[in-house]
Amino acid sequence: MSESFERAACAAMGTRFEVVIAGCDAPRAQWGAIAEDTLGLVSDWHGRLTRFERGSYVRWLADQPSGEPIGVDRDFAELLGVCARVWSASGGALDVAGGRFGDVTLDARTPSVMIWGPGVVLDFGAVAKGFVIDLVIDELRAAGVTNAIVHGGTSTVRAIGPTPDGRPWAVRVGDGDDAPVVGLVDGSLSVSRNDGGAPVAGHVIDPKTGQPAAGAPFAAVLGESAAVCDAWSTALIVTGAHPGAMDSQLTSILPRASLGDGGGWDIQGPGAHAVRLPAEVGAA
Amino acid sequence: MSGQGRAELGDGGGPLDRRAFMVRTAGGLAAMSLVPSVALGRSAGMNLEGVRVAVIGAGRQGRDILGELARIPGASVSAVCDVNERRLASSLRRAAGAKGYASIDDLMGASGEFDAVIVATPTPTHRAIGERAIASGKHVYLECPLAHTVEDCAALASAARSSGAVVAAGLHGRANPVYTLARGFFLSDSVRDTVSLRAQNNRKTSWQMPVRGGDDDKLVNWRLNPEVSTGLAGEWGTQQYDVFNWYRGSYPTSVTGWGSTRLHQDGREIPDTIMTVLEWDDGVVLEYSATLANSYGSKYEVFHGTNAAIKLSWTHGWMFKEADAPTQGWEVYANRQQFHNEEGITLIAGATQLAEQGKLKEGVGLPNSSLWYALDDWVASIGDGSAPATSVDEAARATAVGIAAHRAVMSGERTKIDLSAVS
Repeated sequence: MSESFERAACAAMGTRFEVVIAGCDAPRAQWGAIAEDTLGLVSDWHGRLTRFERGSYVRWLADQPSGEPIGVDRDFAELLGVCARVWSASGGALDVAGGRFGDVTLDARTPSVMIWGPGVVLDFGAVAKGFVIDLVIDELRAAGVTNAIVHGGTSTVRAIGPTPDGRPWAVRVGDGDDAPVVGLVDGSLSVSRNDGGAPVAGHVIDPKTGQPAAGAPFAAVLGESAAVCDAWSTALIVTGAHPGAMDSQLTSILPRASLGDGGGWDIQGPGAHAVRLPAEVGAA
Repeated sequence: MSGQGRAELGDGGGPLDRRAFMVRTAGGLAAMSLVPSVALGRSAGMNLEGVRVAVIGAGRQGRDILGELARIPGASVSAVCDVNERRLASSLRRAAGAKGYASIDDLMGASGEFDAVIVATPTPTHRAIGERAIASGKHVYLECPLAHTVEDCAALASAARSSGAVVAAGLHGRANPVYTLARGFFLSDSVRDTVSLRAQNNRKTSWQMPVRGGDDDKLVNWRLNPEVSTGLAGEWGTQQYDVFNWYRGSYPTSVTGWGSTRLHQDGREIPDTIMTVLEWDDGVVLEYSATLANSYGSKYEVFHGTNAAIKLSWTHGWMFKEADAPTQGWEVYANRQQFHNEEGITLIAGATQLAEQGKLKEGVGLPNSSLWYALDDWVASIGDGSAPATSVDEAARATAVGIAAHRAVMSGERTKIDLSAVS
């Protein structure tokens, strides 16, 4: 007897992506092929965005002449658009050009990009997982998927619908049985942790100073788009504060203090709904 | 001793002192003058006015092709054609400015919009679409395997010969700078006599594609349709078998195969795991395995010679010298990598330029994919009228080897490889 859900996974972007389909208009025998097919997008974008392979698209972009328009595809322009929006709204706390995003000009109409000055290498590590998850979600929906959850390395997750029995997808935030649980229905959650010793010396770099970010040790962001949540969860580690120009797509930003009650939250918004769940619901 | 041809390594440059010669030679470019720049490819320096390309087929391979074309100087995608509306829309996002066509008829009706055509559709459709593209007088690039039958291969080869345009086939090894470099070593005393050959392609994937409303499962999942599929031996093996055909300058004459389904127990008749043994008339044997059930080791080819072994993995290459093999001097400057108990000399394409700039280590691994080099080579041939790296005749023979190997897998019998129809 087959299981009530279909799970597929792949290694990419230094982590593991996983698709879990629990409801779909297509016959059950098709679910595995749908999950695997959408993961092809993850591998594709890994190859395009990695800084560590000489043949990647971002390495190629870095080699293009300074100050000349470079035609890009619409998906890539959309990714840069998310980065530009969060860069602007966060006061530069999210900067995929290592502090030089001001030297990157995007023309979304053509679409094309101009990079001013040598040595600008785009690093989408803070947003790529969320962006690819959004693309996967679009593909799953187009294939008739009605209930699913997709995560990239467990730090960014997005759901389609609720679970088949109508409950929110339960996502545990943090380690241990008493860690808080967030419920997702048609929304995204992204978390960032700035691992390091006291006071704070982690792997997230403040693009303005080039030093480890000291704003917050932990950030969790709920919203509709996984890319936007992913980007903001990193930006908040840098700023440590609720930004004044919070992205309109975000439903709520959860600073660490909100995560202390161990039981979840009641959050309602147009793009996402995280509802209070008993801790025993467990992790997704 | 085998009858394999030899090419001596020579200097090929101006006067150099011994140390400069050795530094330039380190990494292996000594006399083989590969390409002006491995990163830029052949087409970069041609100032092409822009070859307008139509891509037929917007599945995974088509998507990869669109991504690579975006980075090839002198080429632009002006049209994409696919019968599947969703795939077409998705591919047009990847090819900004291109027009979409839902049928070959529609595309050919707008033939003024493009100069060249890439056929990236399912293998069984290559002949019908390829013949039409060639007959239109456009430059054509045909993905490999060339077709699913030897008869179709022969028909495409015949059509290509009659074309006045540049018709190339996508046997990716032949345009790959590392493979070209390594072939020079293979043909020299560096490897010497061939002992044995080995290759594999391991991936964990099902080959099942989702069938959407109204689609015909047999058409969507053609790789698993025994009526038209050439299985792992044909679909994957053809590219890798050809590396050995090309290096050796000859084709195997018989093949024995085995196949079974180790993971995907979904009623399929096409095995998800195979082993083939191909034999040449001089007694050299190629052992090739492929599976959809495990990804360990991925995809590579190995040549064992009496002086050295060469391992190739599409973006990288290494040479492992025997202790008693004669040294040629440059080895002391070469970049090396450790593999458990073995030490490999990294084969670096464009090593001369890199060594002169003191950047030899940065040359480890190609800056582009094999697909990129194959497409760039085709675009460059359109630009300068030269012959492409892979002719359709060669692709027809390579594909016929893959088809024979698949037949051997399905029958479990030693099978003669008959290339008379494609020679």
